[in-house]
Amino acid sequence: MDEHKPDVKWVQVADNRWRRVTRRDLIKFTIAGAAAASLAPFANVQVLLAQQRRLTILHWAHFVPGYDKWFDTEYTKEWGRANNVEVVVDHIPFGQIPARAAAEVAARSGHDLYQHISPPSVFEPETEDLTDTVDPLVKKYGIIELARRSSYNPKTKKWFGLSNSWVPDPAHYRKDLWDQVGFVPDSWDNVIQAGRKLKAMGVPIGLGISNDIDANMMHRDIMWSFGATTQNQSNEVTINSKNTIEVLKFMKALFKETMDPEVLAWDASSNNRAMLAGKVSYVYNAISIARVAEKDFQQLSPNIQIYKPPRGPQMLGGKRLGAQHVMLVYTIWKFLPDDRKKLAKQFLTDLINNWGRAFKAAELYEFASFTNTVPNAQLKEACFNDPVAAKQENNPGKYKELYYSFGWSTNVGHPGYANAAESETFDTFIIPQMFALVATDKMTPEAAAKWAEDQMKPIWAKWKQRGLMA
Amino acid sequence: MATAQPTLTLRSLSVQRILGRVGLYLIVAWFTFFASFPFIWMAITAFKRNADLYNFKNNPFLFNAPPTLEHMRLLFEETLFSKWLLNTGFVATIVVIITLLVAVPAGYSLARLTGRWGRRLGIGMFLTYLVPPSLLFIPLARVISVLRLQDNLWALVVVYPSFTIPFCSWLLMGFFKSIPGELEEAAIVDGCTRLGALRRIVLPISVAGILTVVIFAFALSMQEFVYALTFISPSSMKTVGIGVPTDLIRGDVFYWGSLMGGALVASVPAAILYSLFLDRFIAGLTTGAFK
Repeated sequence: MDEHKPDVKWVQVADNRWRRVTRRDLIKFTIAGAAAASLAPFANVQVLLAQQRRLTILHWAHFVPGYDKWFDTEYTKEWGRANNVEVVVDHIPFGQIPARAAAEVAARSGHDLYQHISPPSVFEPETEDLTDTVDPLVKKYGIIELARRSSYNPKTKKWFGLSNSWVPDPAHYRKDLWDQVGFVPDSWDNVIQAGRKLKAMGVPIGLGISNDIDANMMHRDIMWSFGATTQNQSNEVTINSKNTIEVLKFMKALFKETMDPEVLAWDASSNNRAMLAGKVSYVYNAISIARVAEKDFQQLSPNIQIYKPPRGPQMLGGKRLGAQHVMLVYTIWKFLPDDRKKLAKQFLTDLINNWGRAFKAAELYEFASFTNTVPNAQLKEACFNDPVAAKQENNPGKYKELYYSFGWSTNVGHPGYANAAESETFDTFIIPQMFALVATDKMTPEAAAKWAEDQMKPIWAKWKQRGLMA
Repeated sequence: MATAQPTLTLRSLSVQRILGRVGLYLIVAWFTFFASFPFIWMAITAFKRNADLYNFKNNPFLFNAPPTLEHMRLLFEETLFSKWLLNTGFVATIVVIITLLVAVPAGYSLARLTGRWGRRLGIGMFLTYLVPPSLLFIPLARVISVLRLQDNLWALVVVYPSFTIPFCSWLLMGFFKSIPGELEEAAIVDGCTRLGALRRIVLPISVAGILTVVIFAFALSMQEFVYALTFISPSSMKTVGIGVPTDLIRGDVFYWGSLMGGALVASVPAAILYSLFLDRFIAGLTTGAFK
């Protein structure tokens, strides 16, 4: 019997524990160990594959370098580590964003998250419906109306994008010079009266009348202040109106009496350069002018004041409205695989949950679209006590007007939504061209308003036919 | 009086000669200034303080405030400029090699082997060069996507020969036509094959044309913008032509000093290359032209 007894070995399984192991056990363990060892590389591959999950994001090159630094090297790295994802952020100039989006759509290949800087309504057929991502965030934080109107289509009931933030478009004026002529740019009437005197002093008004994003915004601001609109709430073209004719007449006078002809050829950077060079006394822009002045033009900086848009004539309603300067909207392409879409949506949710940090990194350039992601107290403190402005003896409250920008800002397409037709009109610069035709005496105000209507009606008809507008 | 006349004539001739020389030098000086003005402007702007640069009352050609290295620091320390230079060199070198490998035999074949169809084919090839990248980038984006080369430098290596090869083949075709066919015939009579004659006879006397092609292909690859913008997104993969404008124009703020610094540093190697081979370059361009 003893010869048939299996061989038994004692094997230490812990410091103070030994176990009897038969030859059969030993063979089993050896085979299992060998199998495990041979499968280990595959297990490793699984781990590596999991690590290689990738999320690609396309952003514009942010005006605040610190924001890109925070987003690219801090936040996304942190999020990537927490979620075992490699996050890659690519940047392109803002002017290339629509062309690049068109190329990605044509190639059916592109970034997992694509950030636009104006409402991307024309891309709606190519974008994922983000209702499942946006709705919970809206319930949790609330959303400002201009962000809703720039990323939601009430006709298709689709959130074609998620707007994380928006950029106000205040006026910048030379307070020292305006004080000299005894005006504050509170109304358009003040602007033209002061402008005449300022032009005589060699520092004219600087409002671009050209195919440029700033002009596109500013012209809408002044139209709304005069009660003119591009469309109504029912998506009907309303450009050819008495109010439009009035605003065209006013703008012609403003151009001839207070500005230099070079505004007809301005691009997005021209007002920055002109203000920083001391060549003009009043422009519309995001706060990039004030921030650059703080860094490189310390003598000029305290004299640059940020102010709300001027009020229109009382007889035309006396409104005070300004378009958002930049509307940042993320989209996810429909053609992406489901796992990438899911990951991108998760990233968006987490980003909005952390928006308070982004707000700080943006140095007051961007404001939250989801209202309560930045508590009111934090917002007020940031606008009223900006640390850089606080150092300027005569202008510590330079940015406080931004706190009130939620009240006077609205979306492109006001009083309707920023729909695809409005987006195409914006991208083809019909509104600045209408103003330029009158300013340069090529058309009467009446003819220019009719010209704009003739341009816009087919665009509205086209997008209605495609089912994207009611 | 009889002796005064020739002296006067000699003097007036001498004055005329001096005036002629002065006029010549003035013209040359003006052209030199015209050609070097972009470099002068880039150099001044790259080292100028922003407050000095933006002040319209200042003389733009002088440093009204002490020069600064801040723009260069930003360029080299806060962007991936060095990496962009390397990427550009890599892409341009590979594209030059591919272009030579295709354009030399293509140009030779069109010049020697295709008879009266050669010229028409040459014109046809040149016409393809005229189709602008702004039209081609969308279909090519699909090609690059199918090849899975998006965001990869090899995408540019694949695409750039589409405009370097037609132009360089056409250029070399004209150059090869200027070389007497009798030279190759003599080599063939002496026992060379067609390829042997090309390698031993034609190529050694075509150095000027080949150098021209090298310089053209390299410069075209360096300066290309649309394809690089469309196919490459990560900063680390960008070439100079796309990296400098994309990372140094932030929103509506232009970093003029760093932009000019980047343009200056990137253009210096190309300028040196042109200067070193200027004579051969001119010979390469003109030899074919006079045939």
